[in-house]
Amino acid sequence: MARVTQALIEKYHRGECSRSEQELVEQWLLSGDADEQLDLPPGEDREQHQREIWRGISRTLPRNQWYRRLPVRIGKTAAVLLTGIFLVAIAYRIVVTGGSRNAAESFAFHNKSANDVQDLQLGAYDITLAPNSIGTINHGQQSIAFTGSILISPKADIELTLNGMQYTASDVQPKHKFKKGEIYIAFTGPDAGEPVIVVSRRDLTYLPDVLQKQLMNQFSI
Amino acid sequence: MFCVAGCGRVSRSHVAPKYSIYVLGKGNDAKEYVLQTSSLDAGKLSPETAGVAVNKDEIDRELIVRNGYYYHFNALTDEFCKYEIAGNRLKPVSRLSLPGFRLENYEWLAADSLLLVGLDASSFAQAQYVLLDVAKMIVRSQGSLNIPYPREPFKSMSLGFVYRRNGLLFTGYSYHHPVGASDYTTSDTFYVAALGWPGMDVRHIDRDARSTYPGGINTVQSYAFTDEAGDFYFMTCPGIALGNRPDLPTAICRIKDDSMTLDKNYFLDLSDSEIANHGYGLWYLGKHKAIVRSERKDLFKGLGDHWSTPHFEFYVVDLLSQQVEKLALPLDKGTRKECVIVAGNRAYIAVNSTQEGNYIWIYDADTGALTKGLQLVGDTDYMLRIDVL
Repeated sequence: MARVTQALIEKYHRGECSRSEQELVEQWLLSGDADEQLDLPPGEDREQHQREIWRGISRTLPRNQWYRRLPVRIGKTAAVLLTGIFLVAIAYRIVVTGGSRNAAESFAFHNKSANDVQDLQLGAYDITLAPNSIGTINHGQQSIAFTGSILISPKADIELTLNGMQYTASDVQPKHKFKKGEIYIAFTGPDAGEPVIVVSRRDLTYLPDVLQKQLMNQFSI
Repeated sequence: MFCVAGCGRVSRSHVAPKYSIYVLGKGNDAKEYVLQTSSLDAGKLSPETAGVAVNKDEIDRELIVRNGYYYHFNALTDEFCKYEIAGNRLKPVSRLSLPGFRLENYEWLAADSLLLVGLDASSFAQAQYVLLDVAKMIVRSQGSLNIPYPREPFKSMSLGFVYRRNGLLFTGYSYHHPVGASDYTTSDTFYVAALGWPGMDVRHIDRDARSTYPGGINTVQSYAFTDEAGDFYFMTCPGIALGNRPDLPTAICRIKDDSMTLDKNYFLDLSDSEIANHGYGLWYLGKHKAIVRSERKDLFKGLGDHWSTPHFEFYVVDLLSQQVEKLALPLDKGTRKECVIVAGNRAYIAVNSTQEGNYIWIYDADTGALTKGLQLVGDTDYMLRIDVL
């Protein structure tokens, strides 16, 4: 079976992966086992390798852009740093290269941190990922499939379809309208088949009180 | 229109409004309205013509309504504000700041004396109280309730009711911890503390593992009352939209008038009765009978459709014989609503039925008859609360 290597990751963020390579990288990222699958020779230092991977990738990125700072914001531990690499690598493909249309259409995210949120700026809207949130954004289809909870801050009036990771075609939800300047929280229920729940900041009052408090604390709102 | 002295003759009578209705309108970006009316017995009202649209950035349905005023705590601004309807809007009368406080439950101690209990805003782990004079809108006193903080694995807590009797203050509570990014659970035990009032010293704490999540948030819905004998009843609420411990039963529990402890011999298990579901709302009818609003787990899928699917039923429960009787009402929608007013031998029950429309139903406790009263039409999707002004 093919492995995810530094070369493959760099190829991925350049938008040069074949469909199967792209799926391999995203599967690896979404598996939650990314750290464990980083095969190292005996005695090699994992954190050193992770730093080198990051340096390798960062050399290819333009300076003074928000995604250069992203790993610093989110990276307190090596595990988080590695996650940051992939967020940056994938976001880079969308934001900077434009890439081929296919390459720019979707990317995956995974906030592996147990405590910290992570921010992504995506043009028409920003999203903040709660700890342990994982998913894929498809710009072409204006959709996000995810598990966990995310905060969406539209910079323009937009429409997005939000689905749980395990959705099937029959579960696909209608597009939600998101208004510029408002803040929205979307989250998935404990069961894979449950639809995503989307509420504006103001409509948090309709959620269970314990969940309201949890989301307010999580996103500092 | 009122006629002042010397105006000759009364040209038109005016009946002061007695009731308030809080309406959530239709659609994705729904408006919300407050209506006032002199009667719930008959007629037809549209919120967009008979009511005032509320400023959704400032208030929501979590209200305390008394003597014509609306009180609301805004967690974004930390402001506790008093409103009245004037000039076709809900107009602020006065406000005060309660920084760092998050409201859970309230209790009127006297006409203008309002006790708020809640939690610290940063961790939701420390129980606090604020005693207000709402005529002057000043804080009389505030401080902590000396009940135990959550301990691992629990991170936060809920105060589900507050009840003052003579020199005692009772509060029910439970503890929570997050499960993943967007789910939580509640301790398998609930607690009732009896504190000295106003000293707030802990006199007694009951622990009870028969259910959890005692009460709820009473600015949203009622879950407790005192009967004619002074016995205090409250409902535990472990359903998915409150305590989220659906494995435990919804039950009615009691603190007797002459006691500072939970009545361990009393436990009205609603989930094990004909209701066989979790409850959302409890109102006292009088003469040892109460109205319970309960979900239908066979009709909703999960939290995502719990609020929008019509699946709520109403039952009359005899607190002593523990018999339950289902009311022949259409299925109601909306997870939590303050939707019952009891006046004499009548109960007004606001039901949002997809099939039969939005009516205030009138239940005659003496005869058991149910009739339709006031109808809400126009931009009405949910009647989120009905209150006596």
